Amino acid sequence: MIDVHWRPRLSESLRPQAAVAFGDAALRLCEQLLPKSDNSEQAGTGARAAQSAVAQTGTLYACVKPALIMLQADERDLPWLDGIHYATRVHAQLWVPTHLQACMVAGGGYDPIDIELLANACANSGGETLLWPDPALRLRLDAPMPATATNVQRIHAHLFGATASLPERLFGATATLPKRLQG
Amino acid sequence: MLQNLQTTAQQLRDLVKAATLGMVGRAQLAELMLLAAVASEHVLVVGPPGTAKSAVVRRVSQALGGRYFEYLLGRFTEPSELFGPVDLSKLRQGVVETDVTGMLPEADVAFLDEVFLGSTAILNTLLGLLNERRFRRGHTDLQVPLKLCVGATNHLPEDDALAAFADRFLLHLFIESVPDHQLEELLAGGWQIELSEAQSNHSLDALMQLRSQVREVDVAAVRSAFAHAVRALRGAGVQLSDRRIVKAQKLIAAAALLRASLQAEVCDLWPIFYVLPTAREQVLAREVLAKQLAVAHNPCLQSAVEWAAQKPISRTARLMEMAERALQSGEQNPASVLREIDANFGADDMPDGLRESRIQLVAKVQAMDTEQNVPQ
Repeated sequence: MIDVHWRPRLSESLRPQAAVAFGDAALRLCEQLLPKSDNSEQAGTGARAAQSAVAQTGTLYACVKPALIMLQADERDLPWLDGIHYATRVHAQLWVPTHLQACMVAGGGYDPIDIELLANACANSGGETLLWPDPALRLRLDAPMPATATNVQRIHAHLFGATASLPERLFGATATLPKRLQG
Repeated sequence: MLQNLQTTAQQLRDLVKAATLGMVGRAQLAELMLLAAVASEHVLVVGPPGTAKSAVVRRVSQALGGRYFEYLLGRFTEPSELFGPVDLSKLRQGVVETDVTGMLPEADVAFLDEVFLGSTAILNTLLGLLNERRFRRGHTDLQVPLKLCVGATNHLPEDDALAAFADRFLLHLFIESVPDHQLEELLAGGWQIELSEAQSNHSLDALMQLRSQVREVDVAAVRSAFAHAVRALRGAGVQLSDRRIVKAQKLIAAAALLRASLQAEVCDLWPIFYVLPTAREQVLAREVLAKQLAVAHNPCLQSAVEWAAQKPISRTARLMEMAERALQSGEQNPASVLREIDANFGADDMPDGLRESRIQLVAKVQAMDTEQNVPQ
């Protein structure tokens, strides 16, 4: 069993490969990804180009409880919004926050956990997993969806619209709240 | 004078950025090349083949300007392949001289791959080149213009004679292949490099200007802290030769100069990390010298400092610089800088100065959004 603790990453910074948004930030991320009205498109900002790139290459996962959206895309296309976080793939099947290091208690201090060991502990029958500290989550990333406008609208409606009570299995991710991981 | 130093440091910082554009995790090599060149020392890079060692050295050399010499040594490499052939016209007169045209003795920057594979004859001649900047062979005795030599090897030699030669490279940098999570960045960067060449900004003169000022730097103020650090290392079982300890002062002075200061401070002690000859000792030093490395700082050599210190303080300085550019000149997209900041720090562990910059950036992004949403 591994008790996972998180501490600020002191070594090299990891390049973000996904944006992770919870609750209100997830709502705002959805709204940013939704097609803009004519007026705002005329503004011609980089946001529109980035949105277009995300729609072509990005991948979305969503979860109902807690309300969460994960958008995987090229770093330069990842949106910034106040309150969203960033994750990166540290192993073929494991995603973690860019700014934190997963550690375990050792000799009165904290030692980084070997990534291979951590990935094995989070094994998800061949699928990918997002491990997150706050809220403590182990998220199975089972059903990727292209970040098209249709899918964003669908997620927006399910998470924040009148149809929010639709079954969770419609979504591409399921969360568990791990206290300990099998090591 | 201080203004000149600042201008030069900025010019060299721009050079490193341009030369390492698209190269993942290799900025510290470029920065250590500058540090070594200012201190009149040399760099040894230890790492597996195919890790862009030669590409970085070549691009920095191109950007600096000056003559560049590069060679992959093998067990059967002849001295003439590095230093030049015997001058036949002189030989007819009974004089054994070397024609060094276009060869290592004429280079400003040299890169010697697999340097320890050289024969005894080659390594002995190299000793003179590296230490005294003199080339002696037969009747030839020349003062050489060599500013910097970067040696590369897959692993440190165990043989005592070769270890003594390795000791002549004051700075040791251990590099690894790009980790899995940065492969996409590596591919994108590699593509970018294929399509571009490093532009020379002719900084060699600026570098030489700094080099001439090394002796003007006051290192007395940090001597005690430096001695304390060496004692701490010895206490942990890390032995440094007296020669390396004494020479390390030049690196500390060079670090201060590249920080645009003629006064060395504790924040300039970080090059000690790279003076430690083995990877194991460098890792150990991060713990033993944690206090000294925690305050390490150099805007011109941020990656080298960050790698040595493994502390977010230097990362903070880099991010604050990006934020400043986004706020003042518009060179950086504020949202991109905010993404970079948030990818590096959580709300709870963000340094105060950076938090302040972030608040200003958020306000700027919000103002830009408001402006764009006003109907035309």
